[in-house]
Amino acid sequence: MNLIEQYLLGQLNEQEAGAVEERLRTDDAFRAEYEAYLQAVDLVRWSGRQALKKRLKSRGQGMALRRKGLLMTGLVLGAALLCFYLWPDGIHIRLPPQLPVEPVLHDTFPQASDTLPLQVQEKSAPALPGKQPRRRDLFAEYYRPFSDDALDGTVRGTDPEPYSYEGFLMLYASGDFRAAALRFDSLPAVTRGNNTVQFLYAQALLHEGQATKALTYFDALRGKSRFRYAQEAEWYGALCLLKTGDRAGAKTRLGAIASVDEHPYRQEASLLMQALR
Amino acid sequence: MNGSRALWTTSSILFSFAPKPHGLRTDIETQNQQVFESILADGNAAAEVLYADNRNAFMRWARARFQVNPQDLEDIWQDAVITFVEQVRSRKVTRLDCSVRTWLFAIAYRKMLHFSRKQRRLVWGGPTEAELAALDVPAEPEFHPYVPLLVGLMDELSPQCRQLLVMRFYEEKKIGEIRTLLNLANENTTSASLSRCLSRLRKMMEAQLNRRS
Repeated sequence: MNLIEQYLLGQLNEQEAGAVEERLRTDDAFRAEYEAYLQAVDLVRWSGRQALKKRLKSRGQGMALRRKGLLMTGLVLGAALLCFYLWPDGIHIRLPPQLPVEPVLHDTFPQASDTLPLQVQEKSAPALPGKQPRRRDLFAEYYRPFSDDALDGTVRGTDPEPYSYEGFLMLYASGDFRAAALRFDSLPAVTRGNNTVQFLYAQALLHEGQATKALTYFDALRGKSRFRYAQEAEWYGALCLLKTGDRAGAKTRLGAIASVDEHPYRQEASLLMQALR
Repeated sequence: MNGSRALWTTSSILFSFAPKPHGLRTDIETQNQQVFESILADGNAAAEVLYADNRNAFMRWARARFQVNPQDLEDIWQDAVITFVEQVRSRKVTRLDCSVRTWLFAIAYRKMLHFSRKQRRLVWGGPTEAELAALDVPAEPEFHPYVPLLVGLMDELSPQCRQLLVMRFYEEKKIGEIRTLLNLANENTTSASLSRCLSRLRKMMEAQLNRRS
């Protein structure tokens, strides 16, 4: 470690630091070298500042979204209340047609022998809507946010830098999927290129309802045989298709998953396929 | 009329430098102390809290005074919070005679004056502005113009190097603290790693500047 580095890292005692400062005043070459180091330090400071700014920006976007959401909810509620009070005849709710009341049949014999037994015409009841679960229900039934203890940054014993790989993992593990989805764009390019980070980003997107975008990531990742969550990407890709309404596509993928003996989602895929029939 | 009078009175109390009742001053000092401690413990997390807690109040306050678009206001507010955190971290500011919010507003106010010098101001003067302008806010750090152009070099360093350098030179953590936080073997290892990373960055910068020239 050279003298300038020691000086910048604050590792010199008072006397040594004084000597360095004296040399800086008198030795031009030494001062030029020192200034080059100062520029590197400046770059680090600027980079740190930008990272913090990105973090605040992401927080601000989250706040704005929440505010917008609250505003929209308020507007919808307000409009609903207004309709309720201003609608001329109140709100008409269309009820299903009532079934005809069937005659009560007594267990006793007919009292008059000359009367014909009462013929009850069995009227067929109107067909009730099918009881098959709807697409959204099936998605909600089978979708569980992905988690893996091995990914939890907190078990590593340190508090990582938020825009690092570990920081992103920790944010995802904390369950704040919205924040994780927002933070992805602010990560360094190298981290964004990491398959695990992309996988978790897709998970966060799916959780936030952006199934189409999530699917593009899952599709890219499921083909990577060396990626440790490739099979998980396959399953969640099928769920994305289900969410977007592509039942045929979902069935094809689920069939493929169900046919692999070792697939971790084999059982779920079989059950979901049955439910989709 | 009564409403605007009430608003004026509230803001005067918030921003006034007139001696406050003893209890109120003690409260502010205690709160400031807590903010300072949290910044020194984890500046970035504290910045996030300060930013979120005071953002809406700042936006309302600034929109009533300056004609600046919301994106720019957001930017100014982020910079103000970051500047304050940096001032506390580098011990340029060790105590305040006002609340942290007033100080943050004062930093932002200066930025806005600078930013909207040529733009129309909705409200001129007034005691609040005068008091904010009177605060002795330290100057902001200045970076060499080419520094933003070279920020890509930071991405070429290993994540650990980046983290080490940012912790030492931006977050101004001591070597011992960094060693503990990153779970490194000892302080010598930490210093040696820092020195290696800094030296590497300096060489990369030198090479880049030579290429550019």
